[in-house]
Amino acid sequence: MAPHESPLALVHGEAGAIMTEFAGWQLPLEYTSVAEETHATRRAAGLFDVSQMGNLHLLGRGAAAAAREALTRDVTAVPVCCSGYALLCNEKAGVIDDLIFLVMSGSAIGLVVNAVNHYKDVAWLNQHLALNMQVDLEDLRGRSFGIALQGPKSEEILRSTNIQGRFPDLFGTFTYMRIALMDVLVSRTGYTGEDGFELFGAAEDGPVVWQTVLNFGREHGLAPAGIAARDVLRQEMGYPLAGQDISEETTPLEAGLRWAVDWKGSFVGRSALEKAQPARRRLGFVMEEHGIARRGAAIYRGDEQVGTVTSGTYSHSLGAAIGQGYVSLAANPAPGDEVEIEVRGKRMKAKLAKLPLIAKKTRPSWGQTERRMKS
Amino acid sequence: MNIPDDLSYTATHEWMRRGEEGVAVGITDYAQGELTDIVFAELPEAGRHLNAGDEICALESVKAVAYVYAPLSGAIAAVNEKLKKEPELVNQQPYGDGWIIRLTPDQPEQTVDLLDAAAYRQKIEAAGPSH
Repeated sequence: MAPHESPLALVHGEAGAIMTEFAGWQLPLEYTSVAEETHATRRAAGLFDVSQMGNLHLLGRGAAAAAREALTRDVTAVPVCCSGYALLCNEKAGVIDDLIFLVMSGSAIGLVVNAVNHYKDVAWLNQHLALNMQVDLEDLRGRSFGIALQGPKSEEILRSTNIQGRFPDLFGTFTYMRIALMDVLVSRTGYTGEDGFELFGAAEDGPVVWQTVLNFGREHGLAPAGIAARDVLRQEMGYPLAGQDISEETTPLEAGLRWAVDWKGSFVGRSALEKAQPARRRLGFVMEEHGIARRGAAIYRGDEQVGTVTSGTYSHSLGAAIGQGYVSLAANPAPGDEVEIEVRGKRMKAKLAKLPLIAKKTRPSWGQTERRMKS
Repeated sequence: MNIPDDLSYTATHEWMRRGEEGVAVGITDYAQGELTDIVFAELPEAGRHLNAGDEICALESVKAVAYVYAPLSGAIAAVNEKLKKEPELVNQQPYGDGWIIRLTPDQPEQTVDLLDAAAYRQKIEAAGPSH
């Protein structure tokens, strides 16, 4: 099957991007180099095409209740125009997907899901909502664009584009604005650990929004960035990639995502999760020798294999190969532990590390502000 | 695609340049473009002897690991130590500062099958666009 084309395909072609296939989509791998694009994002800003992300809407008066039932977060307690990170679990508390939910109104919840799990998520939601007459699932596949503007200069850049509308000030909030006369949902979220925004709108408006932000952003150091840089940036933050670092074989507890579980109310997988006894733990690592530990590489302590790598790459910001994986709790693993990881048939020295590997620089979120106001 | 006329090429995307100080070996512009950003060069020791076709070293990029093979038999006379700190030189100047080793050939005619620039160009064009 031919890969899907992003609504931004034409602008990538003109920009000379090297394209690659990712989760059934044709997307920019890189424009200049991973080093330049990651540095631009950490120091100024990077612009990413994320149109492959699935864009789903739960609609109807039962939308919030349905989202509570489907997700690990209590969406019924989230104010309108606020968003958050949640997991979609199966009955055994295995992670089907991770996603961002957006509370658009009392009767509309947006779900931004991973391209690789898009069809699976839709099938699973349809199956669980089949008997619920108060909610309908709408799939915007092929009809929407997604653009991520990420980096410390993001707000300055977005403000310079003559936007109209109210600005989302806190992390995890969103507003509706007009950029270059196009209607855009502007969400203060991202996958890089930097301050930044994710912009969503109608597919046909995507190229104009992309070009406008890029043109205004250039003088602030904005660079278009591909999925190779995006993968490095998320690994520096220790963010899991669904289907790779988290899957139906892992529970939220093993993955270190307990914070994304609200225990108020019932949800699919809850009873299994309550009984779950994690046998392993997701941890980061930094290589101390010259090699990238890739997915599937064995992690050793002495002669014993204690874990397996799920993601690995090279961080230009840290000047070292990094990654994440699962380590058996029987080995009592702790950040700072010396281990060896198999790379190119050799065991190389590495150190286990707490995630994130680079300090998060996002704005305070609406949840944090709410708690501060209450206390 | 930069394929200098004065070099010899292998089917495994190495180039070699015969000079007074031996035979310099590196990887082609095409090969570095396929690998993208090289972050580690695991270099061999000088003095080691290689047969034509033997593995010289591994180059590692974010995308993949590539092995570099000797185009002819000989002893390693020099290693480009700069690549330890700046492996990106292989991306930036594959035929210049990104050279990998220099060999002192045993017998200059003991080589793997070599291609001239035209034949190498034909080979990679026949492989089709890489992306």
